[in-house]
Amino acid sequence: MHPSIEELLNLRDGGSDSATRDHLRKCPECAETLRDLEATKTALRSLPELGPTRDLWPDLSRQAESPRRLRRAKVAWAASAAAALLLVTLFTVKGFRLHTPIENSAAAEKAGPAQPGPDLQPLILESQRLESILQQIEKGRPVLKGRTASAIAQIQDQIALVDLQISLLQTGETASDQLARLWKERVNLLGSLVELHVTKGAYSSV
Amino acid sequence: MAEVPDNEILLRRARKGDFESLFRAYERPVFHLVRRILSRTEDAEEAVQETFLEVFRSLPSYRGDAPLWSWIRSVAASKALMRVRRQKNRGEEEPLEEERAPGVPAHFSPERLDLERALERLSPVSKAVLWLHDVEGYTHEEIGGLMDRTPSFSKSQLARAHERLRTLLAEGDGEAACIRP
Repeated sequence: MHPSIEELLNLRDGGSDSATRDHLRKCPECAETLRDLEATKTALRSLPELGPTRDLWPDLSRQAESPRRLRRAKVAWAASAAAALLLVTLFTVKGFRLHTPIENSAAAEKAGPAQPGPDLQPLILESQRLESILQQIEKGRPVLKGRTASAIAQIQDQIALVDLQISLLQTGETASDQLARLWKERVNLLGSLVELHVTKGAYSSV
Repeated sequence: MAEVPDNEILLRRARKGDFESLFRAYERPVFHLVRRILSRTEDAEEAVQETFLEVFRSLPSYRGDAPLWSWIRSVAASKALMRVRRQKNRGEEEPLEEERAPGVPAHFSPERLDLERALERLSPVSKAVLWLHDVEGYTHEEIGGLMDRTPSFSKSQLARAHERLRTLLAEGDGEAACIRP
């Protein structure tokens, strides 16, 4: 009985089946098949190298870059979240309740100390004006592109942090220049947010 | 494939974010390997991208225990086999004959052309086993591991691939399938 191709391949690849070897000595047909199997292996190895039909790097570099960008964004988000958490924890430990700066400002007005000085009023009014613009924009806002939405979220996070700092400062004796600096920062951030909505929102609605 | 002499430099650069040098050094052997396993050029190109994305992601954990090319090659083989598996699951196991291997030189000999054609007509699994074993030098144990199958499965697929090749080549020239390299 002739050996199977599998048995011949085993012999070709260094196997030592004596029964198959004995058979090959007597059977020229199987000996030729073994030579063919060896020749096929050699022929396969000598096939020419195939190359891609286009440059694959541009696509690949984009794909390689996007997870890194995502990781960087996640790190930035985690840092903001950690900072916010720290502030909230400190705030809670101190036994204070969270308010938005405007609510807090009203509460502080009733309580007496640390009333917003006259130099803060224009900043607070500007802040309110920008917030009402943002509310209008939010009502008819189109779906935003991921990058724009991410930038908006980052600014909103920063505003939340500023709000927390303002709330903390408004509860005690506070230097009004510190509050003014924070209100100014709040106004700037709100301004950036409005600008981002107006400029990028228009493109992403297309 | 011979080991590229400046692998250390390539690795150092890649770890600093210069992935292109590493890609350029190995794109052709990776493409050649996956293209020989996969029938379609576009599948092979996607497998190349998947391979390098995996390589770039895994670079921090590469300790150099295996030579760089062996490591990249095993990633490439596994990506190509994953595609073969997916094709099989989708019922696309029949070999595709629509496409001639691109880049086949004009001076290609008829014997080799016959072999190329026969190769393309093998089932994807048989072709993958044949290529990994006979050309890349993987053992049946390694192929079984890559394919989540036993070494016996690899052995029987290799035998099936050779039997089919012999038949196809015999059909091609009307005589016994003796291939002269």
